[in-house]
Amino acid sequence: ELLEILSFDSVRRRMSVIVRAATGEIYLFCKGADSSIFPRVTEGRVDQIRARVERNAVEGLRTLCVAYKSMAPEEYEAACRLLQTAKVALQDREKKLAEAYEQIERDLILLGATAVEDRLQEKAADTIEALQKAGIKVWVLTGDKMETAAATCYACKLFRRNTQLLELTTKRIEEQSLHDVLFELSKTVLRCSGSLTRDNFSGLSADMQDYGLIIDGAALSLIMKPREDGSSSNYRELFLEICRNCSAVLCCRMAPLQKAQIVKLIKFSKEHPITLAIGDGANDVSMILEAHVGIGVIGKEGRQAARNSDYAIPKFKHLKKMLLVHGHFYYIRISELVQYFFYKNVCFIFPQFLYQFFCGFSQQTLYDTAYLTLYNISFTSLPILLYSLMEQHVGIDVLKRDPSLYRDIAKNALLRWRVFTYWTFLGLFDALVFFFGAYFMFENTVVTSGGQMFGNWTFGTLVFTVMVFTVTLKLALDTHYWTWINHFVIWGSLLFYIVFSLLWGGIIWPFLSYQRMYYVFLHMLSSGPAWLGIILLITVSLLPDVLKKVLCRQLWPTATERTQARNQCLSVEQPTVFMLSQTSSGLSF
Amino acid sequence: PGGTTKTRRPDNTAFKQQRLPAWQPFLTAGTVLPTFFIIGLIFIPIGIGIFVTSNNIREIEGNVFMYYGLSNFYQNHRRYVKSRDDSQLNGDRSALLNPSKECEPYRRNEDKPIAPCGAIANSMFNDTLELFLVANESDPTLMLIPLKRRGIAWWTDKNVKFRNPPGTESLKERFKDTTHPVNWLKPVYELDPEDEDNNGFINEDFIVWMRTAALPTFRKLYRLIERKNDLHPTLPAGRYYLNITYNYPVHSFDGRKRMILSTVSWMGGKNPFLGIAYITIGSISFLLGVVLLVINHKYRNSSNTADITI
Repeated sequence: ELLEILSFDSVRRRMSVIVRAATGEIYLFCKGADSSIFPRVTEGRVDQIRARVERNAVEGLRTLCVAYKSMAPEEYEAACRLLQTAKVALQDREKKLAEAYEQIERDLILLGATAVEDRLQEKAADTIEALQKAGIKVWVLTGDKMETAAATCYACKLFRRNTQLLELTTKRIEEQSLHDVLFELSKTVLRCSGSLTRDNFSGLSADMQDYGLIIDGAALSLIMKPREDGSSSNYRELFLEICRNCSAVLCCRMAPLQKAQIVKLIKFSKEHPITLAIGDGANDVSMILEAHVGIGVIGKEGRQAARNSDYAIPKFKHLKKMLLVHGHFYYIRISELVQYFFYKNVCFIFPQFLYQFFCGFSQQTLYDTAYLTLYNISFTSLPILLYSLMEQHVGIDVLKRDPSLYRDIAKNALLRWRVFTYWTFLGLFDALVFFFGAYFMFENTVVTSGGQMFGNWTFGTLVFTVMVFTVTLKLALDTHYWTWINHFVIWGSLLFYIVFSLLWGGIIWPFLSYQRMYYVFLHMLSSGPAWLGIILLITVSLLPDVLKKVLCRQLWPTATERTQARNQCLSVEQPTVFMLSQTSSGLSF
Repeated sequence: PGGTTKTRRPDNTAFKQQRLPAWQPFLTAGTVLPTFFIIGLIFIPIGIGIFVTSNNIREIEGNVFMYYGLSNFYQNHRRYVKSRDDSQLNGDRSALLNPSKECEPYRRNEDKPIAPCGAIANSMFNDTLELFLVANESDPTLMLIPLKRRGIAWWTDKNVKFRNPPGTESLKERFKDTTHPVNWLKPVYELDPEDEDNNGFINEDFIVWMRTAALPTFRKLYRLIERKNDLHPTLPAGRYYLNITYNYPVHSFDGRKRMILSTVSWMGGKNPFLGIAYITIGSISFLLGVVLLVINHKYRNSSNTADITI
């Protein structure tokens, strides 16, 4: 008969039940992490079981210890009362409950230990390896013991056989002071890296020394603890410095709040990296909420994590495609969207600005109001919209196969000032070409075979026509994945512009108060030089960008471009190189 | 698990899984090089053709076009450009008597609506130019060159956009209750009393003036000198006498007036810019093609060795 449940909480890491046996005896059974059970045990084969637990942990099994005690009726009454007062307390209920549990769970007799093999999800190792090759730093935050966690890390290839493990654990801190340990570790780590930049770390070179850091929750709280002498920030800096030079970090025995704490620490460190937290249990919720991107794995442990996350995925392995394929695509698409929007509007407005110098600064518009309104809505909107939904600069399987391509977009590479300045200057150059090209064509000369003159609306329409075609063809040159939809919107937008212009100027529209555009477009098209000028100006505008693309691809190709070239040249599968080596440790791979 | 619950798995269609069949081009030197050379090879001859055609426009044969040109005259000023009433000019009776507010302050005068209203109409060019040929040195008689005043405006302007107010009465009757623009000497129905089809709003000089020029230095078609027959040149060599009836003041705004005689080819008047531009761009393109070829050749050897990446 179940009398009481002393529920689990992640701080004290155990739970108990009080039961009455058929014989009338009252027992308290307690199970929990070995570090929280062993201190409360007075009897039992402690050393033997402790050794057994250690061995289990090293093999990667998750261990629990179980203990019991029998309670006399008065003891039970006292316990009951204690629990009751604590449960109904109006203030500090948590604290009172914790104290009550503390009181009740003592003087236990050790029963034994259990071990559970928590299988790694399929392809977890593959995913982690891919992420590391992509230049993403992977940290493992777990509540498990150090040995279990370390074994798991070896199994999922976070630590490789040549990874030198550095420990920042309670054990070491007990021997030396925190200060000494931190300094020693940082010296070790910085000695080897020196001037090498860790960003170029290819991930599998055998000659660079690989470091892995193991830290546990107690040590972390020591580092994070605010001190009066202000040295805590130094410790944090040192800690982050060590972490920066390690290829992987394992944090074990982490309480959920500590997981969030560490995410916050990294978020606000010097380089302000973008953080992603992925977890499947309720104890991961706080770190999922803290990180920039929180991902919940919909798992057997319920939906708490998934509910609190930005994205939920069914399995851990889906993270690989999500980041390396979809993430990469979205970044390429969004950065082109942003840059292109600024570019096409610079092309749009700068000729208007230039015209002011020639119209007495009277704010006379170069283009008709219909063109002004519809430029961004109809003539140039659909192509970039569909580009940002559909573009694939390299194939999906190429991205999956070669995670290092992800490094091409690291550190917001496509939205930096330099790239933006290039696009802006391109827009300015194009605008100058449009305007002054038309200007020199029109200046004081006749361009029709009938000798009649063009007016200002024809001039503006010529500039506008060149502009619409140029910005659309610029996007066409940037598109690397031409589906039928892309063809449809790009050529369709241009066609729509032409049809609209013909209709707009083809009839005396009764609802218009002005008829200034009547026949302007058609008249412009009846002039030979206008056609020649349009072709020339479009070519001149697009030439520099094409040249830049080709030169950059030839002289300074990015990894992505090299892959594209390679895929074109080779039709045979790339040969894979196997490296065999002897393993010296007891762990198998 | 959950046999009857609807699966939330996305459809496995090509569109939703981003597997649509696609052409995947990318610009390499190999694809762009031929384009540069082609552009060079096409543009240069076109440029030469245009340039030659443009420069050949000097023999005064064929139709000759006479233009008047103005400088420092901002027909493209915003307040000026909007100061017109297209409905009135299209013959709308209600707009004739009640011009649009855009025409202010040239909308009403002496309590009558102005026809045509607006600043553009008000500032119409009203100099008269006449061309005479001095027959020979000894004989001082001047031979008047016949100047054709029809066919100088856009056909669509003359026949669709600009219409006189409808009616069977005389033009003067149709324009009663209106007054002429402030700066005009004659009312609009006296612009060409000899030719009914060139009077009122559909007067071609008026239409040409109403098409606002794009830049402050512009020219407008004034008259046509038609060629007589193939044997004689339209304007034979000799001395010519230009008679100007000076009505149009330009000194106040530091403007300049001039008269231009030009022949016209399929590509319009003399315009060296286009020809030169084509030749320049064609040459640059060709040059870039050569440069890229050199770079490509140099790097092709180094990229042929296998990239050993892990």
